Amino acid sequence: MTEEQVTKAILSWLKNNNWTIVAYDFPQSGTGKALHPNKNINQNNKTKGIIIPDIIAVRNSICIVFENKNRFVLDDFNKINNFRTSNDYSESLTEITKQYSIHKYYFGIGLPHSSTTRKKIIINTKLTDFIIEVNTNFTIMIFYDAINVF
Amino acid sequence: MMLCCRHNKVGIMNYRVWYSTESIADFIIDNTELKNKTITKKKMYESDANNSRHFHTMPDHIKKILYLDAPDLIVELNTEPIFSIEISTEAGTGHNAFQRFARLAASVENNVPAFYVYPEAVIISRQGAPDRWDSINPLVFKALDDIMTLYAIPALFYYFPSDYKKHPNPSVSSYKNSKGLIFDSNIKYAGCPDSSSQEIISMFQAINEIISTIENHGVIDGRSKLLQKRTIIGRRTLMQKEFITKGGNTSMSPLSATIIIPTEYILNYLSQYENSNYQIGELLRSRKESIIYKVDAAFRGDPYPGALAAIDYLMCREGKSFEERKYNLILAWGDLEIKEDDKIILLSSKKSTVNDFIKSVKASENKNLLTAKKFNNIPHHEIPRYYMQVRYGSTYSKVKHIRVYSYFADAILFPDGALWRDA
Repeated sequence: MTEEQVTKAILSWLKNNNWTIVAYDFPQSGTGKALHPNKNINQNNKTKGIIIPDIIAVRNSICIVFENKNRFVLDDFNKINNFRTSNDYSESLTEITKQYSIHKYYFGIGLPHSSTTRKKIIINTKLTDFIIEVNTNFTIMIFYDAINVF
Repeated sequence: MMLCCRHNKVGIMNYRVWYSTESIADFIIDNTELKNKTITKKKMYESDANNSRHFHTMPDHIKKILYLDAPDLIVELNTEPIFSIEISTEAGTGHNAFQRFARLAASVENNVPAFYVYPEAVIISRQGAPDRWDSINPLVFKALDDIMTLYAIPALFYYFPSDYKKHPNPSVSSYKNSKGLIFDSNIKYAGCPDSSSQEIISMFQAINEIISTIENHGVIDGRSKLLQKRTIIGRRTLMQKEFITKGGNTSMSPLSATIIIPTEYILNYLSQYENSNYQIGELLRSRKESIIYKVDAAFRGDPYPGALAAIDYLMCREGKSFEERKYNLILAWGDLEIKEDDKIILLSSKKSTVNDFIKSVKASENKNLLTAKKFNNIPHHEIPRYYMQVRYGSTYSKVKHIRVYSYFADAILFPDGALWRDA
């Protein structure tokens, strides 16, 4: 399964569940919205680049941000954890979602269902707010949802 | 059973769709006659530079179209490419309208019709300033028309749908969230233009025209008949009208950054590299005048490679190869001064040096396998790639802007160095 298929399966599922899609991106789609680091970040000797989330969606004043991959990659879990704990991109994210009166942002991972990487995913769930798996028939499985976002 | 023949009608029809995203492949297949054909979809890998693991597995006839830059989609019939598509959602002001031009050029130069889908305008939002529509540089219509004249192959433009015409005031656009652009609502076609818009329906009709012409007349004869088809003539006329109605003229960017000077001035400048053993060769000398594209910026890629390609078709070309030019095409990095009395140019810059070019080339050479000293040094999975590089050298391993500059420019000038063709 490709990252494009993962993202599109999750987008369909979100739309069917009344989420509004604010932005999405997959390799070579050119459709994503870039998040810039907060103004003070690069002034404080921290160098952070632009991030383009794979999905930004909103529902009932909640915003969810996805990083999707076609396989388990630990770096993505660390990236999402950094995103949710550092607040380094909050200004840009607030700007992009300003019309939706967002109260809370959650960050998670989308990837294909795979029994071979299940253990690694379980060990690292705490680095995310949620993990969504895409089955081979493109149906969706909520693998982990710590705060009942879905 | 009749087999495919280059010159006769096509018998067995096996279509392959090479795609950058599966969305675009499905979008084109499902909305055109391709949906009734035997189709295989294949992922397209752009170059050895950005995908060394897979690029060498691309068929040779597809590699030829990718030698400058990769479009979003290539459709082939029985191993003959029949059209390519490039879809952009960027604002097309100034040089930017030409950013993807080298992709079109590579397609048309290989006798493959090209479709270019680009927004008429895009909403630009900047902090502290009101939103505004950035509209397309109409010179792109003339560049496409000129390339059609040179190659007798369609290079057709269609607008990516937007509500620019309906809402000239961007603050009331219904699609502000997507920069005023109207995407297809079906997630299967995520990232593609709205298939119900008249512009995109017209593109589907032109694609169907190409398919039926090629099926009826064979690939080679079919291609040569395309510009005579009413669907194609109609679109070409519309493009010519758009150039006029949008105030297109040859003083627009990137032509505004060019000058024509006697080639003698260039030769005098390059004479610093001549000595008793070496004289500048015949190619530059064969043309009385030269066009210089002046870029006073740090040495880099986009949007300059595409703009350079467009300048070639807009001003220099008189035939199908770079040898058939009225003027030399020179790319100069820096602030250019013409010394009429001395018949020479002067170039100064704090932003670019010839070593920026050399550094980019050297970085690309990291992808080169040809330095292997023994067969055993080559990992088994790299053998086909090694063999490809033996045949093509680093043609596909260099980064895009180096490939495009060295293909189009007869000479590239920096304040502290220069590169040029002798023949």
